[in-house]
Amino acid sequence: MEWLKARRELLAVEKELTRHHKVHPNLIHWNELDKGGHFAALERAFHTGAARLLPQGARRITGKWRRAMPNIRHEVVIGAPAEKVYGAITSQEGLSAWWTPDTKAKPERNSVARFAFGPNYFKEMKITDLEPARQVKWTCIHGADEWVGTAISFQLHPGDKQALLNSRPEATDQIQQQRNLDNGTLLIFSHDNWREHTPMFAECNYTWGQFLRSLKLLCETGKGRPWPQQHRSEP
Amino acid sequence: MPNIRHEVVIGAPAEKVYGAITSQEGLSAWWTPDVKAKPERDSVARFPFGPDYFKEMKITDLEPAKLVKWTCIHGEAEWVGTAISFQLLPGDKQTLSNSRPEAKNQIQQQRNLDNGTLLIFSHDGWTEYTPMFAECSYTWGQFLRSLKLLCETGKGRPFPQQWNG
Repeated sequence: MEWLKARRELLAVEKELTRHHKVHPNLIHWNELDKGGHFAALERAFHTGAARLLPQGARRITGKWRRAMPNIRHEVVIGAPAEKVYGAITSQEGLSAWWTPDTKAKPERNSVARFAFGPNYFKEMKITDLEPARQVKWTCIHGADEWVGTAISFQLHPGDKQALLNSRPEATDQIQQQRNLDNGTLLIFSHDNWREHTPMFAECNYTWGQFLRSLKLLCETGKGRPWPQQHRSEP
Repeated sequence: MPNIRHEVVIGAPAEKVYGAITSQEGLSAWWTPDVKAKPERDSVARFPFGPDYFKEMKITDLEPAKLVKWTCIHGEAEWVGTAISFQLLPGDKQTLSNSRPEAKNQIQQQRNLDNGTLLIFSHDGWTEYTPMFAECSYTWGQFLRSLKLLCETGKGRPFPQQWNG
């Protein structure tokens, strides 16, 4: 079985690391893993699910590796209630108005949403989690190679200016600059499990930022900047 | 290791973008007003955000119209020791489409790209995926949009206008 092989492989990595560094695997810096060329073994263990069945030491290695994987993260303050933001990231009408006009989607767990960008390219996302006004999770099942298997999530934290200032100090400036924040939302966006810091990772990080700005504008003003307007300066 | 990366297509020559990320006047017009900076290797640039907070960057590398590198030496604890770089790749619509397939959409949507620039921005060396990492990733994206607007139209959206301007 594939996972059995991956498990054996990772146990060997653990043993080798312990011998080489003469310390418990928990204490090995992820940087050392990179140098040792062990990422491939870790990746296989993670993708086959073998990592879950490992003894603690090896599991910690996998955890370190996962934390070292390239992830896109954004935090955006939106001057609109979490229910409204949730609608915009789950309904076909909402997604069409800030991401791409050619969206087929329904707010249903395990359904597949289709997002076309022009006639020759589309992405498909399996909706893996939906918690009204709180959380949406997708797994990319079709699209550019680098996207397939990556995981996207939107977490929504409701609050007014004071509550958000207290709970999210990292966003102090954004919260203070936000108009109409009596009933607002802090959106935490993740696009995780990229294999490397590639050029596409960088391009997508910037472009997600512009699309999230489009989502914010949609929720606050009723008008987003969906593809292919997301990079345009004028409305 | 957590790294913030952005790629931005700018409809302006690399020399102009380089001016905007090295001169005091340029930096003040897209990042934060009242910058103290000079385009000189090993000098320290100071970026105030309001009266109570500032960042300081040591300028570690300068290659005209190509590359700028900073190391953060003062600011939020999570920032100190992190490294920031701006790489500039000049080109027109056709050469950039050929060399940077990942930015195809951005390149195609860009007006006036006869003499343009692809900016590769890195903010590397974060220790963890913290809330501040996420907030800064988004906010860098909005500041880079401000830099793009400055280079293309003459008007940026510096602090505190970067999110809502």
